[in-house]
Amino acid sequence: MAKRVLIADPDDSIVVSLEFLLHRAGYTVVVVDQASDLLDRVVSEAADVVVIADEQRGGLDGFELCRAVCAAKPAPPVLMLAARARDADAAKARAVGAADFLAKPFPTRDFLERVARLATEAV
Amino acid sequence: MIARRQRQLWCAAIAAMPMLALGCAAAALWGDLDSVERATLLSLADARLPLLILVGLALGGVAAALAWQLSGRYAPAALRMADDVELVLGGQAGRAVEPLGAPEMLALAGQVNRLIAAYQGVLRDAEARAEQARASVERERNQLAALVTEMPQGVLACNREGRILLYNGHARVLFGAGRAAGEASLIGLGRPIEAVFDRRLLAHTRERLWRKLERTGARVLVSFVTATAAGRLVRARITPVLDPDLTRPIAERLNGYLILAEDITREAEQSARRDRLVETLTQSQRGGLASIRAAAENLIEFDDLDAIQRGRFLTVIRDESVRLSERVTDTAREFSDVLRSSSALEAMNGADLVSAAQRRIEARTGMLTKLEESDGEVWVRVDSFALVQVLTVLAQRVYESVEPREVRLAVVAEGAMAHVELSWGGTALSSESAAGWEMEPMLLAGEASPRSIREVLHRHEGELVYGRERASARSWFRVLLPLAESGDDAPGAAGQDGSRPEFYDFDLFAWGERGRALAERPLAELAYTVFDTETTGLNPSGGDEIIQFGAIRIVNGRLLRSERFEQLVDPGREIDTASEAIHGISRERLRGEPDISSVLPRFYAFAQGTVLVGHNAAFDMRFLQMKEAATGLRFDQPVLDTLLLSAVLHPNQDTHKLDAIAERFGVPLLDRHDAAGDALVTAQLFLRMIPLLAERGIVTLGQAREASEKTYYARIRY
Repeated sequence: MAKRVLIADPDDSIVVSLEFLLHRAGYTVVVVDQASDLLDRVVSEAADVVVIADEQRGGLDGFELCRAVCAAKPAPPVLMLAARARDADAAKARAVGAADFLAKPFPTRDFLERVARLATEAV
Repeated sequence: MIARRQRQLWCAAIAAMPMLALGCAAAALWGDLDSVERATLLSLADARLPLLILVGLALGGVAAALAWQLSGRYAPAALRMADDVELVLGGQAGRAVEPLGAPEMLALAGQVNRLIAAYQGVLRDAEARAEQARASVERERNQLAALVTEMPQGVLACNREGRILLYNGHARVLFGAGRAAGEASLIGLGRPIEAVFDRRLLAHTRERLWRKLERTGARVLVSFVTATAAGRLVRARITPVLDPDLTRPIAERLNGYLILAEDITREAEQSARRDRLVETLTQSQRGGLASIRAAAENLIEFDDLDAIQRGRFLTVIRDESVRLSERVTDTAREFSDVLRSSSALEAMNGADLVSAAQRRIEARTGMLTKLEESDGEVWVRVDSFALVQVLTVLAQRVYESVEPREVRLAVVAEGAMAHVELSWGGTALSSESAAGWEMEPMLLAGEASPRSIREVLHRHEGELVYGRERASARSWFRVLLPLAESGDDAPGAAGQDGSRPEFYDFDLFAWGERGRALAERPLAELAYTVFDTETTGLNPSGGDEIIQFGAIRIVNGRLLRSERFEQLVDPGREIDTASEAIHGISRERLRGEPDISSVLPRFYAFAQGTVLVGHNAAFDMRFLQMKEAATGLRFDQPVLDTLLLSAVLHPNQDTHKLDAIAERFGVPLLDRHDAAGDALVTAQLFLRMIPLLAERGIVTLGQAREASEKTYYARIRY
């Protein structure tokens, strides 16, 4: 069965490409428009990997979302995509429980490799 | 001898007394007798006259011997006592009067000796008290000097005439003319502040200061930014030093100025770098974006493109976006460097940071705190005040929300980051409130900071994370900060040599009132540049050149060994063999040294505002004057010559050569015929001459010059 990847990124331009890439790689992709729904969807969609952007709409914080997802039972691995790429951001992502961290902009191949690794580990 | 002769005269006079008495008695008797009695007496005396004379002489002899004996027991003892008392008064400590002569004289000597002992006791007491006071003043001055020396900024103080009376090592380095060894600093005690800052800038600043002072009447501070001779950018803050007596008009209360200076070169460079980064981001990205946009619009608008054409546009989009990605990454990294090296952040040991925070938290909240085992080698670059405030605010908020029994503090390194952790057991926070605190202005009882924790951490390139470990039921805030290099900064220029340099002279505060002419100033309170040169030969007008400068400063009667000017000069010509034999400086040694056109302006700056002193200064001055036309530098300050002053002091001596005078004054000769060594000897001689000149009534500069001119040697012309 195809692995399910949840994407929570308000930037539609990048979501277009990421969705396309993941589809081509054989994943089932669920794009979450409302970040506030994310927690429910993680459970209801039984996601294997969750991709969360650091910047979210409506004053929500990607890091806090990540923390919430990681606190869920069972918690799927989270890949954080960040527009800010300082050492402190990477450290913060790890501190809130993210399994991996990727700074924008990134090579698409990198993105696919990391999702694949997390999906395998999640089994 | 004179005393003995006096005694002899007196004894002779006493010896004559009995004869005189007999004569007088005879004359009185004679006058009283009638003629018959006189005839009888004459007949009686006639035969016995020799006997009478003999008795008179014997009586005279006895009187003389008695007088001689008596005077011998009193007079010499009294005279010796007078001498001894004079010696005691002249400062011969421990000297007592020798008991001599008659018992009365011995008793007197005993009492005089008691008086002397009491007098000397009082004297010693007074001296000890004066010495104590001196030592205490000296100690306080040294403490102040030490304090100023350790200050991280350059510190300069000057009196109201603008003469420097204090500076520290940082100021010396900051305003050094350059970095070469032996290079003279523009700063020196007693030197004009104009040597350090531009005259017009100072005038302008002084005016600003006065206007502010007159308006507010209180403490004022004016700052300006200027460049030093070595090209460093300096921000200076200047404040007046005022007499505390408020009843006097403000203009009369000004004693001087205090200047704090700091090197802002790095700050300015960083700000320029930041500007450049912003420009890079806004300007250079436009090109790449334009290419991408054009290619994408073409792809969308024209559906009849062939595969090659499409491929070309797509390649443009990919290549340009890769390039943009790289540029953004580079810029972000560079910006991060700029922020990290920002001078407002100081390297600090993580353990020190948490222990400072611990003290503050305990003082603020009264909560129990505990320091956990921390990694001693964690260093961070921080604004320690702001970070301690962040930790304190967090602890206070935690205390108010969940009232933990105690909070623990720890610091550990993880990867490229330091984690400063504040943790507590028991009730956890909601992540919403934790996130909210990060954004709110920091508020502490009694003190509000308009900044939020987020803002402070952003400046540190740091982040705040809240978390909770279910297993141990502990909650934590972690402040993530980039790790820094160890902060063991170089101790700085201040403590470069063990002995504390002579960087201050507060007597300069009391320096001459405004308007008193230099010529009327006492020699003992002037600033001098004592100098010597070595030359290629003895004939300045025949093309001989200076090959070495050596100079040292005297201010207020103190030789300032740390204020020296030493420089070799490439003369651009051969050296006279006779001269080389004297100073031992060969042509080869001078190759690569600067030429006179670059050395002279520096020596000029060093000597500016001081009286020049040299031995046989006319010779050296002639060399300097030969360069006037070429360099435009006029050494027009007063000049004193130790050769002439020696002739004033000891007109009967045959020679006034440096060696001879040094021997006369007991000044050791080291490094003779080295310009710096000779300048040092000359300075020491000059210092010893000042009090001797004063004994001869030569006190002021004007008097010294006048006396010099009158001496024979003044007529020599080179």
